[in-house]
Amino acid sequence: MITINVRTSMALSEILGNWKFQVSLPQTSTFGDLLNQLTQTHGDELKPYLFETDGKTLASHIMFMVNGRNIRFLNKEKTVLQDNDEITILLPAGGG
Amino acid sequence: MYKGGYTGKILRINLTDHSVKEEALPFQTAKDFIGGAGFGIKYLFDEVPANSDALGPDNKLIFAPGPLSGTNVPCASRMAVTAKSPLTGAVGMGLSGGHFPVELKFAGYDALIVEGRSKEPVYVWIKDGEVKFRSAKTLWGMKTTDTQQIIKNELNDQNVRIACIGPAGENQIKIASIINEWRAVGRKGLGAVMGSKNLKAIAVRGGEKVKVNDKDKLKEARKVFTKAMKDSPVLYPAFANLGTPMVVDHLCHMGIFPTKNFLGTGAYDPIEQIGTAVQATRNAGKEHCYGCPVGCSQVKLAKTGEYAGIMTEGPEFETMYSFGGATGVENIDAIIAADRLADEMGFDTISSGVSIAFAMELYEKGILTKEDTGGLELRFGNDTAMMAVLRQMSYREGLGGLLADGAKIAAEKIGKGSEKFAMHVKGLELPAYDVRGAKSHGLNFATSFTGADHCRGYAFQEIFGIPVPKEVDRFTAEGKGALTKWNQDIRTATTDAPTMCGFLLDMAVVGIATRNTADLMEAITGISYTPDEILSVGERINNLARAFNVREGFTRADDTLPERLMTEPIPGGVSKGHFISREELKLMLDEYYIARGWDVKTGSPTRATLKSLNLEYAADVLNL
Ligand code: SF4
Repeated sequence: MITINVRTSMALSEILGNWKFQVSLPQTSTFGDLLNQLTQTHGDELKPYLFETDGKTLASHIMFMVNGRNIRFLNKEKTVLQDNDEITILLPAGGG
Repeated sequence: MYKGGYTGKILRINLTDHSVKEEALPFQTAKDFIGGAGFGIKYLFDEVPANSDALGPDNKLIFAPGPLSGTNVPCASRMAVTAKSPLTGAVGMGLSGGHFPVELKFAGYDALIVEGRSKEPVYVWIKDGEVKFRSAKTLWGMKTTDTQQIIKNELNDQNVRIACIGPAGENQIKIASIINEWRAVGRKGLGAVMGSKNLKAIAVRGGEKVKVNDKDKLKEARKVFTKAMKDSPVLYPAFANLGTPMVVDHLCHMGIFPTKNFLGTGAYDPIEQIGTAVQATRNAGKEHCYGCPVGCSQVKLAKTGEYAGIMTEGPEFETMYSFGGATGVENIDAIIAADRLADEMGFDTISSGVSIAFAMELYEKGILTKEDTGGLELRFGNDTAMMAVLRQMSYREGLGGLLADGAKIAAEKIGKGSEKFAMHVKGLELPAYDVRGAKSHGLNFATSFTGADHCRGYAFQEIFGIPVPKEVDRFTAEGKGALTKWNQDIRTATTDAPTMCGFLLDMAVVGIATRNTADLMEAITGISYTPDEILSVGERINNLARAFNVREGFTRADDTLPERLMTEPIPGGVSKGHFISREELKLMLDEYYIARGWDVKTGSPTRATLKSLNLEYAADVLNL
């Protein structure tokens, strides 16, 4: 098993119970596997935030990052996670 | 001549001889520069002689709302204020919202140009085309809230709108701001320019409605705009309820919220001390700029200790950084108090906080001692020491006097290698982004015509993941030259010139911004533009601003970043290990100058580029 660290923001933190937590996953798990595990545990409440209305495509306005890098520049949902990876899932923010 | 949007009049006020002149707005100026920042930079380049003393009578202050200001387009609430900056020596331009900008329009003017220097402190009272100079002797020394209230009382009209300076501007500290209501033209020392002219305030009242060329077309264009606002995934309810300070959490999560003068980014992460959850416990209401349905301005009330009972509009995100992250101060109530103090004394919250953070690092390193600080234990996180230095700043007392002209000038005075720790570009202190983890944003800081300025070419692709015009990897340098140019041009063209609130661009309308601006301009002014022509206006303004800086002696060598960002990786968090190496900066700059059609060696616009933008006269001025 590997342990990964997850950080989220705003409504996602409320649904997931904390803005910062750890998840254990089998070796060679992907980012998609992590999302599956989170949606299994946190049910339908989470899904509309993470996916487009088709329930499959990752929501375009959410930032999904592995070690700070947007997964769109890695292997998207197929990005393989390593032990101690830092995952960040952020709802849209704005206003600098 | 003008069918709508423009009043067609420029008001020129000379403080030396107290003369007043109304001039016609040339049509070509309106067409080529739109308004706001465009007018500011056009008049600055054309009228302020080369190498003028920014605090001398030759410098001019140009207040310019835009053609959309004062119409029913949501959030068209702004004006640009432009002068040569005493802090940087480059273009000093900043925008403010609230209600003063549209009132200037209602009083009948597309721009107000302030020239010369008054012998005695004065304020100017503009009412529906009538201008009076009134003594400000009794107002001199007053804080900004009192100044505004006393003027309202004196004029016997509580609805007068006022832009003024506090003691900081009077004392010409180079990080002084101009305050209207509780909003600020905060940066680049424009308040010091006002102080150097002995101009305490401008009071305005107007009853003229802004004419609209085609009401039906405006209805259509406005519908598209408001739909984009409603469809925004962030404007409602998040931004409307939380305002800019919500970005503290966001940037902490991304590992680029700068802490402890950029020594602590990611490793020290104050989300639990000053983040959104704590901020919410201090909310006391909200404010709206003119015509804004969002109302992002959060009013906060300090609740504990010596700060209890202090209220402020803000602190905005940038101030959470400057008085919080950068200084390591974790006491939210101290940050609220510092914000209020800066607004009352009239200085820039970003530059003052970052300059104090710089001094804190010097103290921690032993470069400054207790002797220099007047006994203050000026360590990171010491809110009492921060407040003490802030109080000194506006009167140039003690250590505050050393820091009052910003970190660059302070470092030059202190020496001892302290220059390395002064976080600025061209003298303007860095805003709240550790750009080691957002490289287009970093290139923007290096190349923006005002210095390290997040309001010029905000890289929302990197900071908020918005995929317009394309998705980008924030950690890479390749491709950032053209992107930075685009970000600078679209922002100038669609928000700073027309003039609109910049927040709406990245949060709602970026995908339709040039088309929609063209439609709004056509509907309101009757002047037609294609979307590409709108973007060209942004390019033209950026080129003329650059030409001003070149004339003042700026070159490619000035387009750089603080050494720390180029040599020390981010120490912790998810952006750990990233930095902008000198090679990466060189690559990005080369790309940027090529994208702009500028000379890659000197960083100067070329004659061909200026000519293509209808700016050949600037090439003549520069002897290109
Ligand atoms: S969104 Fe905020 S800053 Fe922009 S116009 Fe509205 S209240 Fe003013």
